[in-house]
Amino acid sequence: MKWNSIVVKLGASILVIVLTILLPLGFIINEIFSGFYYSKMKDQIYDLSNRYANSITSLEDKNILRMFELLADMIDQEIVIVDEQGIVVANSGIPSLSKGERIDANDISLLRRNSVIEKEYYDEILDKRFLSVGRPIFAQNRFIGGIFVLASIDEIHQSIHLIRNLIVWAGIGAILLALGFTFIVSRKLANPLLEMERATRKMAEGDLNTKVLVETKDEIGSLAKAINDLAVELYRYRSNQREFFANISHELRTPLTYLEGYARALKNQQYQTEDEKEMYIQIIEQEANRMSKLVNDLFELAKMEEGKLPLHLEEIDLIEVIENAVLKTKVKAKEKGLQLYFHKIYQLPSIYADGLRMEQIVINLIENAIRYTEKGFIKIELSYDQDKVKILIEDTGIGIPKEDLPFLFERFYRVEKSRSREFGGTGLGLAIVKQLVKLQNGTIHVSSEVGRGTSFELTFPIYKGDAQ
Amino acid sequence: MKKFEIIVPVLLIMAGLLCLTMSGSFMFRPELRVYMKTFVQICLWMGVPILLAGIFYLLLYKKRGE
Repeated sequence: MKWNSIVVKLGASILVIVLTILLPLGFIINEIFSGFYYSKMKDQIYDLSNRYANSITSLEDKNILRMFELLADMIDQEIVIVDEQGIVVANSGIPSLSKGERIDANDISLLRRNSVIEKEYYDEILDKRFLSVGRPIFAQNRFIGGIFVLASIDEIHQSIHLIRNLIVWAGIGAILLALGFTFIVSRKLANPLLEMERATRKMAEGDLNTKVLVETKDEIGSLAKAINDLAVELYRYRSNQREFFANISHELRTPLTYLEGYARALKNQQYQTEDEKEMYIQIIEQEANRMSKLVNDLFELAKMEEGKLPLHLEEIDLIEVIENAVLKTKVKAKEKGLQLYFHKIYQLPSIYADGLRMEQIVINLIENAIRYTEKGFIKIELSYDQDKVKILIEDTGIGIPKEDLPFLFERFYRVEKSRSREFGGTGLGLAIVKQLVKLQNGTIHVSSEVGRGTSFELTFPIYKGDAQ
Repeated sequence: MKKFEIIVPVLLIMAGLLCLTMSGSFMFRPELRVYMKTFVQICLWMGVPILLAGIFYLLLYKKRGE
């Protein structure tokens, strides 16, 4: 087990918390017990000393003094009686205060002033400490001496010491219990994290099929789900990347092969006529243009995906945008004998977008429609509702099979792979369209039927000024 | 969970319970019967929060299930 693991950290934290609670609690319990015993004893000897002092009327009678000495033995406390001079006249068992000795002059003067003396007394011979309460004895309002009742404090201290030991044992027991349970709980908490660590390490090593098997509905479960989602996303990203590299090398290799072949033919003068030579040069030019367009499209798409494509967003009129796009694509449609209709409407709400990029979107979609339509027409319609403007571009082309529709906006995805060169294009047009639409807060939807045609539906939010 | 991960907390809990039992029964006569009685009582007191947590968890689980 590592010293900086969660189990150790959690265990140490809980130990600190338990100690923070137990130590002051132990101290308070100790104080309660000490205070309770001490005050009980103090009350008792205060009461006894008072009663004894009141019961003594003379210190001349030796029998009375003897009786008090016997009484002290019976109540397990010590009694010392002094006369008016402070000389000990009775002593039940304090060896350092033997009969005939004089007590401290301050004490006797305090007693004379009718004061009660409370102090701790240490007997050196017995090596015992006593709590002593002294009271004056008056007979017919005349001070005749004093009585001291002494109770051993050592016994209290022994009892308290025993209780303190028991509290310490109980405290150790509580700490061990806390540690045991903490160990279990922290293991339970740390195990899913360790499982996630193992899984993410496997993912980092390239095994993206790894799954974190944590199904709790708490934060840890949510983290596990996020890791699983991340793995799926990474897997998709890696697959896309591989596919992308495969596609791009294929797309670049084909024109390069043409360029290489025709350039060699020209170099070795493998042509019969000047017309043939001209045709070779034309092919080289076409392929170079194609490659240049492909590289430009790729560069633009990469910028869009990274969010680095600068957009000049402003309030734009879609009718004007579509009119320009139609004007630019009309010739191509005419060359193929296709009709290009634009159903213009008046008073169309404006949208907040980049005019040039919007034109690029529409031109891309119209050119795509022209490319895949042999006969019939291409129709562009505009409509709007309360929140959005809708552009519909419809053709009567070859259509797209249903199973291909979900992949239509992916880079280099072609429905008719074998005839891709025949139709032309870089395979990036629709991917660029989708990115541009997304960057301008729009949506794009495609529906198609093989042999009947395809329609692209684009929606953009209506510009509502600053309130937007 | 590894064997060591089960043995360590079980030993800690057992040691904790023994310490508490010692502390609780020391004031009385040092008899096995007293010691065992205290031990069982401590286990019962310890079981109260665990039982309450279990009931609470079951209720919550049932409520979520519905």
